[in-house]
Amino acid sequence: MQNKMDTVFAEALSLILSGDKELYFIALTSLRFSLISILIASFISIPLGILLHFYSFPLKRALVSILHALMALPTVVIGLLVFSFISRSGPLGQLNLLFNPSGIIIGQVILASPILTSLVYSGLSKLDPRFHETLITLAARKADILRASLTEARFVIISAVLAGFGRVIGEVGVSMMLGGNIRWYTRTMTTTIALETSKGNFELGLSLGLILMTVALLINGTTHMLVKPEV
Amino acid sequence: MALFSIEGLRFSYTAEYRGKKAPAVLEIDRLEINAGKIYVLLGSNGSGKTTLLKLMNRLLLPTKGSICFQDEDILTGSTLRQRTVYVHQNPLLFSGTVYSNVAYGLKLRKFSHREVQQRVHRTLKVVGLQGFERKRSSALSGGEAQRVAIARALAVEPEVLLLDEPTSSIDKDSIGKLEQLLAAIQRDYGCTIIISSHNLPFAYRMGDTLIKLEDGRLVPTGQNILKGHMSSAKAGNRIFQVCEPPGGPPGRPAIFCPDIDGHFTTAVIDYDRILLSDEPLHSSAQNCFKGTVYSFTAYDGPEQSSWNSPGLVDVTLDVEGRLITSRITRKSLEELALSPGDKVYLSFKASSIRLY
Repeated sequence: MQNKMDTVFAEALSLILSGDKELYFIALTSLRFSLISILIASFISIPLGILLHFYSFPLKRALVSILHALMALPTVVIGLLVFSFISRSGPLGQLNLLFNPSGIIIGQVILASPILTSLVYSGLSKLDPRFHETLITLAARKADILRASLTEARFVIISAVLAGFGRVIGEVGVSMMLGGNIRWYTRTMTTTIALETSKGNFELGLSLGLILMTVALLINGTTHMLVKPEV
Repeated sequence: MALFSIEGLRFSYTAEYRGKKAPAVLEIDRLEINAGKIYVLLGSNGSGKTTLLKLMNRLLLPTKGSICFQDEDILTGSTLRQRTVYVHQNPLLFSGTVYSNVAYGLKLRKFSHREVQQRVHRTLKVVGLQGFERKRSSALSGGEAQRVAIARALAVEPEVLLLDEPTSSIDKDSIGKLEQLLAAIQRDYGCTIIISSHNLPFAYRMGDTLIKLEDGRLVPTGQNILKGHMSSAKAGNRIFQVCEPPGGPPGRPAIFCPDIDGHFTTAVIDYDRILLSDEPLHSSAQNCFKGTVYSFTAYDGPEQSSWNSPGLVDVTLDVEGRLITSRITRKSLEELALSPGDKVYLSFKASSIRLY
């Protein structure tokens, strides 16, 4: 058994080192989808987190609570929800978004947005209350306060984006349900690992697992490095 | 014209508390602050010092009443923000360098790059931190951080500097440096400095005027605070020479004080340590002066009403051009039959004087 695992591991490494085309296509597809999703989510969520922090409005607390709850939303539930909208019989069925990259990206944006919004809002809220007062007393206007707050909270915002990216690149439910795991098209690292493992093809699954782990470690390391100066 | 004039001010942090109107943490009927002086707000923790400073800088908004800065209501006027700066008890520095911190207010005011540089260097020199421009703000000690915060405030050359408990987080040596710094700021920049503190020696030494707060209300300090310096000892007695302005030429009166070594600049005599008499007293009190009654102020502090005792009266006298106040009972006032302009003798012991 040990011998077999060693062989599988060696073959997985050999797949990575040999530059297997399909392996790298899948890895790059995953990265591409995740980067696009997190970029779109950032454009939506960072301003939303800032608005939540700087403005008071009725039901703000309720909205923050909902956002916090949505951070733990299971990916299959998002997949199911988006599926019901973009499937042929759904209201957006005409757009042919199902089983193509756009479907995955929509699902991943929905997955990442609450995480990013919550983390940006929390990060800004954790700024010392003296920070705002210091800016005001030095005659900073609203735009100056916003700029200074973003500069001061930049590490928290970047680490929020990285946390969202980590969540998106590691999800399987959305990619499987909305992308359909189509070879050379919508197949991502996580869907491939799930599929190949169920087929008993451990080598490809393990090699992708190693790449995924490396990406996760890089994200964690970068986040740690960025947040460290704040501690 | 008063720099700040406060009328009917009331402040509470919440509108309601358990269904009732929330109690006011600060209630001031009237207060005026004049330009060019150092004011010290004295009071214990929770007496309302920080609240008052923040209200004066519009960091908090009054629940009721008005605060005018240079005859302009601070809620509607625009001059206050450009001319006053508040420095926190434990000042917060922005991440980055000392230079970027000190330059912040100047950049907001759109000063040219050259002028920003010049002002930052000059201000850092004033606070004794020349050469610190490139240091990270996170690498500074508590005292250095405070001086950078003062430099940041000073760089915009405000008319009023509001300092909240500047002595609370620094050691004794740094307090001495801070006192020198504040004196230099007032001398070089001519700005009005309003400081909150519960450090009595610091307050006596620094304050031209002391404002005492208790439970959010103004109360008389009950002390004569005389600025001056020690002159040479005569026949075993030390003499404190009152000078106005502080540091100016020797003035009068010359006061016998305790035989303690030191370069004291402030003598404090409690109102109730000064006796009034219509004849010079032959007693152990070394200090006896002839004065002219200037004014009377009824003193009905909370301790009097709680003891249900008759009120006291603060009698202010002109002694050789200085105003000195004595606190006596109404009965004594009636017995002495004093009225403004009357001549009267005041006596106090050398040992009743506290030197700072």
